[in-house]
Amino acid sequence: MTGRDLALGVRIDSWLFEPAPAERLAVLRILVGAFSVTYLAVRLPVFLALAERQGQLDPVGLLWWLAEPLSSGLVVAWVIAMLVVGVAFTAGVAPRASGPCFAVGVALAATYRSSWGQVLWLENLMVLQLLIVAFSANADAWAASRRTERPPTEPSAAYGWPVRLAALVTVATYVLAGVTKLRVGGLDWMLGDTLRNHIAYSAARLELFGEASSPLSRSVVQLGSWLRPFAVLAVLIELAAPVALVGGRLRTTWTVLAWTMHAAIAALLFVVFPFPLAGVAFACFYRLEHLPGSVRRLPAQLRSLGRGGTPTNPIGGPASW
Amino acid sequence: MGRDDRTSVRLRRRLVTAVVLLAVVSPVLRDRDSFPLSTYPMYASTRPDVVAFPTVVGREADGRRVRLSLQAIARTDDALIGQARVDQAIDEGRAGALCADVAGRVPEAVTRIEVVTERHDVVHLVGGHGSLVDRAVHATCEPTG
Repeated sequence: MTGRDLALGVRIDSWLFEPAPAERLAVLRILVGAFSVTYLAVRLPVFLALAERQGQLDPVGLLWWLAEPLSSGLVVAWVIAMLVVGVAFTAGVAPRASGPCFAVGVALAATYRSSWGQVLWLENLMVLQLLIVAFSANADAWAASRRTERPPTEPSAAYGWPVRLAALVTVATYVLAGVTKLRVGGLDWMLGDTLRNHIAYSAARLELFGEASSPLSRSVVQLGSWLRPFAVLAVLIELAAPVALVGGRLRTTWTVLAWTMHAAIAALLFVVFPFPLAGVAFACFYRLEHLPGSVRRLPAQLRSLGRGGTPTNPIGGPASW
Repeated sequence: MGRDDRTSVRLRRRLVTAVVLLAVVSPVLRDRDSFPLSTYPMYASTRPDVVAFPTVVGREADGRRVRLSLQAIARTDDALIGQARVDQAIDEGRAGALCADVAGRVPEAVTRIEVVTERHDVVHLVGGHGSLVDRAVHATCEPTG
């Protein structure tokens, strides 16, 4: 092993194990937990409909062993229980039990939903981040279980490492999506009319199923070969995800571009990736312990803006994030 | 916590990091999509402009075609799931059973139901022009609702 390898190893270690305050991981728990509970509540009819589901079960992932559909009562009880446990996890109640139960329960519910012949890709990252956060020391701050006064905990890698692991996993999923496009579609994906045809295909599919398609898709499809630069950009955004780990402006620029890509997909294809669109997928790239203070300062910042002042630090500021 | 403890904790975290990352990229190495570990193949394939769509349509008494909703066809609000269900039913020779299932959920004006595969030029379709290239009927039935 050369000196350069050792230096790289030390740099990776110091990034991965950078001590962080307990608040950073706690805020990530609250964001990912609150999002997951809200998602389950909003999609409750879809998850409850799994109880009545008939047809060919094609189990995937953690449920590969399942031979028969689950009983209706079990599915309903499971989904309702997840909502209750999810609220406890988000609030930091009984974290050693609520966290793992909620994360594994949501992973199983989402896996069951994808076990009917069509794997869905809308919930993968939410489940992966939830599993990471839930199995870490996420409730040493901002938790109902810590109502009694205790001295604040020292910054520790125990709080920083899970957040960094969530960031690594998030970046990996985007890179994989870019690699798969190049592996399956080849350069044609970027240089041909694939993006135009995907937009047209999604609109056509909705219309053939008697549903409304995006009013924007008709105009955008007419752009034809002018869409090719956007196809190149989409793949570049996915492959460039590791720059988000660098921090600072590079990270924020990539986050804005990735979010814009998801917004465009939602507007043109009517396919919503809720976790990144809500911004929660990207939260792990930031020093989240500053978020509560930034939210508290926001009204004053907005008032200052209204009086013609300069927004000094609307979301905590680049230095602190 | 002693130095040895700290080292063993770090070692364990390094190991967990490596295992998690390996698990996340493993679907690409195995070329196998699953959940929650995935190759993320959504929109990855190149897409031609002429595409086959499995779907279910209604016919009124005068033969006019009626597009049925996703709820009527597959009791879902997700086009991906709806398409997969119709596709599966046709592939597995269950088009007749799907037709009978849909028969109870169609609008009143519908007098006949068809499980079909239609090939369309999607760019023409979205542009509002004639797009149907050809059409195969897999099963027909009458409403039961």
